[in-house]
Amino acid sequence: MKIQRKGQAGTMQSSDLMVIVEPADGLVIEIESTVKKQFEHLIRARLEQVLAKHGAEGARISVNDRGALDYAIEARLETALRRAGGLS
Amino acid sequence: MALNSLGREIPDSFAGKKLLPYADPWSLQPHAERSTRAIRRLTHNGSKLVGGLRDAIIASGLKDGMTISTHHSLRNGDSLLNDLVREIDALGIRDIKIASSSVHVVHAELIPYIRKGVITGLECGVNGPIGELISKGELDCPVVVRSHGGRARALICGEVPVDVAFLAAPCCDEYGNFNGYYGPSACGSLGYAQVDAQHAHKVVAVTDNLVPFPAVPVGIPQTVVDFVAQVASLGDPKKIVSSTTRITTDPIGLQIAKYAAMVIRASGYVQDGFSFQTGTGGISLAVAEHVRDMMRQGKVKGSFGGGGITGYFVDMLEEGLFEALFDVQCFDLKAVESIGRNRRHQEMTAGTYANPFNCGSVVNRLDCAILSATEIDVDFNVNVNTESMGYLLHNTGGHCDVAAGAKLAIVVAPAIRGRLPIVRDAVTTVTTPGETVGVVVTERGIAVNDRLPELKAELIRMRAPVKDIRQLRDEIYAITGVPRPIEFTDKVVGLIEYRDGSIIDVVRQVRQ
Amino acid sequence: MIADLIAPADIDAARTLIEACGLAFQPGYDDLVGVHEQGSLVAVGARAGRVLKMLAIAPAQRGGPLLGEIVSALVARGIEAGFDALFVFTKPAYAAAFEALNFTLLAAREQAVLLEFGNGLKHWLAAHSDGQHPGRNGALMIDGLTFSASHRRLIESAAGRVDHLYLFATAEDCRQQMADGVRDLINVVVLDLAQYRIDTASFPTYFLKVSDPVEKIRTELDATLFATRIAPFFGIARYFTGTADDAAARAIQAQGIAVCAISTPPPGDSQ
Repeated sequence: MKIQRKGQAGTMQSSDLMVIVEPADGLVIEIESTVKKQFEHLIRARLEQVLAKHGAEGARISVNDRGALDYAIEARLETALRRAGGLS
Repeated sequence: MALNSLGREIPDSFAGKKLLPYADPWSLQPHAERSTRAIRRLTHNGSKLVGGLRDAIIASGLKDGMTISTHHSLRNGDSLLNDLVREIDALGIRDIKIASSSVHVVHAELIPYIRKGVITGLECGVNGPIGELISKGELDCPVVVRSHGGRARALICGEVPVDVAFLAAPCCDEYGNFNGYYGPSACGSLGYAQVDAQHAHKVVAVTDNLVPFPAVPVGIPQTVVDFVAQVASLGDPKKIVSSTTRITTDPIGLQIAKYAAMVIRASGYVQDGFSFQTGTGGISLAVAEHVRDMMRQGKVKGSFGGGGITGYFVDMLEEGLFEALFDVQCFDLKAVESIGRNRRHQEMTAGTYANPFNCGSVVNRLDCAILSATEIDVDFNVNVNTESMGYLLHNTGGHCDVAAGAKLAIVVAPAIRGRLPIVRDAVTTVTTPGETVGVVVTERGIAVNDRLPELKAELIRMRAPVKDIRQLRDEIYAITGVPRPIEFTDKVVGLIEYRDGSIIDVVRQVRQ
Repeated sequence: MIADLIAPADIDAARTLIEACGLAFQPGYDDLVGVHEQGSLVAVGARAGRVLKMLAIAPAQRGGPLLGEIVSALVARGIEAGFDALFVFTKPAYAAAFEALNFTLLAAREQAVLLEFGNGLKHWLAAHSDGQHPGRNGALMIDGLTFSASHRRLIESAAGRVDHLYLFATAEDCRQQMADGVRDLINVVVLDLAQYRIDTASFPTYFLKVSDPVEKIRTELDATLFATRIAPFFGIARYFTGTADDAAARAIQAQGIAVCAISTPPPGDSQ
């Protein structure tokens, strides 16, 4: 599934996250988080799981997280992918 | 290195002082005389006014290596400590220790003076950026965090000798009588300053509101004040009394408050003679609202409300729900206004409030108290000092004093804060030992300490959502995931002193 | 709920709130948004290009979710408008509030700080990593829009004194012209600094007082950003300038970079 344009979803409110998806070479994930020290591994794992599920490629995924739970991460990423034309 | 009774590694000494590892909340006995200071005789009857801050520093004889203090009743509106340190620097004085009753976010202005060697130690806890930089290893300044009661003890026992106390005096006369009730920087109770006024070797009253002699009612008397200094302003009145102490509107907070009220009801303490303390947090105030309703319905005549006082408690006093308020610190204008006129609104010193080493402090007379938490572990130990990144960001306040004194200490906290599980295997830092904590209340359930089986049974009978604390932890971890522990270096940058002076925990530098 | 503030009455309300927060209303923006509560405006913020400004929250509502709400809306629009990273210039006291929203502090001075949302600087540096060269390197800012013969002589003179000379084109879209002009100088690298140059056009003054030395605050912040974030990446040890004793030069020197006064040699004089 190819990323065609920039797409974003989410907010910077507490317990939410903002996801920006844009076309790029390969698949790059960048995570900024208020709980990065404790949870970066789990945030990354969930992002990778969602990206794999949709076979996303050719994208840079920038995440600004303020302590969102897994289901919010999944929902925001899927919305951003959809807006970027990577999901139908 | 030694392990204290909670399994925390405590070094043998810190910043040149030998350390005593914490054992338990009760058994440590004092072997000390009350600290003394030279008696002086002042024969002149004129003014003690020496001029401005710089003149007062010179008059006090402050020298390299000495310890100063201020009180924190002006909270984030305080400008005295910043002004003071700037003047000390200008006079070329170095290697000063600060032993104030607390240091706030506004005092981040001190950072360059710490770097410069003007300030070389903090004999008090800190709120905000100074602690963060110390935790990161970017600022070298040993810090000893003490509770309000522990600080009073340390000054009274002479463990922390204060050479010069510079006390903000909102309403002061030229012979050194002052109170906190009136003036542009009115802060109400001067509970923390009282200890310094009695025990510092030199006392300077610093005022922005000089009134004709005598400044009545006398809060701190002329007999203990050496000098009076005049400044244009002690701080920003808007930040001295913050009016943002409101009941929470957050549904999670309201749910927690409802459960906490169930615990108070189940405890059976809400009857004539009831005594109660809360902080200023939105959840605490929501609990107070429930308690007020309970007292009204049961036509209960309570004994006292204590600690830091809000307008909420003033209303309860005026409604006749309490006989009196014991006030160490006023949190809003309504409390300031009340303490200035109502004799049942009693000012108390930090020593009277919470010092463990006297013939009984006010916290010992508390039935129920509501306390907050940053983290709670499965042994009910509570952390309020360090935040999720491992940085020292908050002072202890009266947390461990109140928990030790009150018959029932109720810790309220949301189960999750921005993905961080609040109930967890281990806390980053122990502020308050679990042995003194009765109940933990979250929106996902109530955990009762095993030492209170009757309360637990009563709550179960009331169909309250009682859970084992390990079960609560597991439920929370199932939502958040298990966090990776913060990594620390071996370097100890600060101490968490228990109220009796033993070391309950240390703060280590965070690995970056 | 975020609302666009377009009607004159809304803009007046925004101005009142901004001024009540000790800030100044500064016209010139792409978006002006706010949040109302019970009929009155409690939070406001604006975006001008990549810069967020005039963020103000009513005192009674601070510490809550409003700042996040306003910033989210402005950032979302900025990204939609094609910016990868967004800036906030504000008072130092507010830096922590933006850091809590995952902004990165790029430069701090006594009266102003610059924070960035997104990894713009990290990406910018990564994109120029092929321009990294070991050695004792120098930097020269070229502010003009055109490349002249006297520029050329200045560059030759500076390039002769360092291992590599970085020419920073600070105006938009003049990098190419400059690159063409120095193509034959093998130790000269031309970089487009426009995005990370704080110039008068991009520097908002809404958080400063009229009596503040605005120009000095701006140049010091700009120099600090360059000296602490950009110069170390390229191993820059020398900074060439015509005016070695202004605020910018002092701020750069304070970061351990030698400031070298340089004047344009007359034609025909080779070094």
